[in-house]
Amino acid sequence: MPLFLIAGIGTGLATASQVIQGNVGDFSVNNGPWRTWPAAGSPNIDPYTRGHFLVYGRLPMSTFEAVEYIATADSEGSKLDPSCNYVIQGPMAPARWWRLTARQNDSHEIAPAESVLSQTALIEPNNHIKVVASREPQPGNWLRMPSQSYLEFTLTLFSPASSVKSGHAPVPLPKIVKEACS
Amino acid sequence: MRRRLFWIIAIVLLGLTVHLAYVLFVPNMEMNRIMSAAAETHGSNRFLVLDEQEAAQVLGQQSLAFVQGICVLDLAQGPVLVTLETPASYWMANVYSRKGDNIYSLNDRQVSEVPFSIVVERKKARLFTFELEETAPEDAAFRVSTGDRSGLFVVRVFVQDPAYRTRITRTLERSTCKAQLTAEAIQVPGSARTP
Repeated sequence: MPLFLIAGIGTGLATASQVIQGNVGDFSVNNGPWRTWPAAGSPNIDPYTRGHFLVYGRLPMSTFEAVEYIATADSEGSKLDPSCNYVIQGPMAPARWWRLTARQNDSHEIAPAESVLSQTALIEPNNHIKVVASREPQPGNWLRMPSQSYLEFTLTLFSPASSVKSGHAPVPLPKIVKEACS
Repeated sequence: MRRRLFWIIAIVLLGLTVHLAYVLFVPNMEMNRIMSAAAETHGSNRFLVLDEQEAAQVLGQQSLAFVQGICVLDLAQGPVLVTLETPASYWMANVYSRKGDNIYSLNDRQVSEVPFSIVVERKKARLFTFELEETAPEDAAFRVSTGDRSGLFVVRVFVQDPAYRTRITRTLERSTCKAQLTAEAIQVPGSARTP
């Protein structure tokens, strides 16, 4: 009987967690290493997208206001490692402004250096960016990484262009390339 | 063999039940927690600008890029009038239902004058009832209808420079959120008129 309960509850929680995180199902859309939830903040939001935000105590914003992309792996598909440096480089999707953060999954706080904002970032020609994420200060756009074992990058496009709002189109986004590890 | 099949089916059914319960109820519980956390500290139908720590506790995310204000909407007594005083910056206002669905969005490009008002009201279920039309609430630039008795209003103002944070906070603090008592709610049964 206890085995039955453990197996049943474990299966239910594990499958729910996997779908909510976007690892299973069609509720999220992948764009390179970035993943977004197109139904976020829409009146027709599905329970899994709602869960993706609210289970972690976050209120979803409509795609009209903001589109959020989350990366837990680099462009090669390797899980992000906080002991490594990463270069986030490439074209940025058109939006009124954007914010790139490095955060721990359980952290509610985003320290100033753990985010790069479009209005203070150095933007290369053709709206390309180059951000170095590391624990040590770097020249140019530096994204300080948290000193925990888990890491994810979040790119939020505020007031995005209409081409971005649907969340389905392959919008231009920067690549995440692993560099040296300590 | 049958015994094993029975347990496999039982585990699958329990797993399905837990899966659905988690997906359907946990987000609602979390939204209730968000609204309760804000209402317990500051009450309903009151506009509040959150400091950085409160923003992390209530909204689950702290960002120094924003000044965030909220109002827990209690629509049981009638519509709620939110009057927003926003600085000349990028801002967005959202109304969330009790389930956490974003039912209304607005940003600075849609508003030409500040301060401006948003009325959030509850949809009336008029089936089988014959009620007189209530007095229309105070005129407002924007009107939002919801089927819920409660909800959450959130406004986020972008801080372009940390030096502007205090000024933006002070401007946003001039915003208000108040219940508009309908004629029905104001009427006290048996009250006598004084000459």
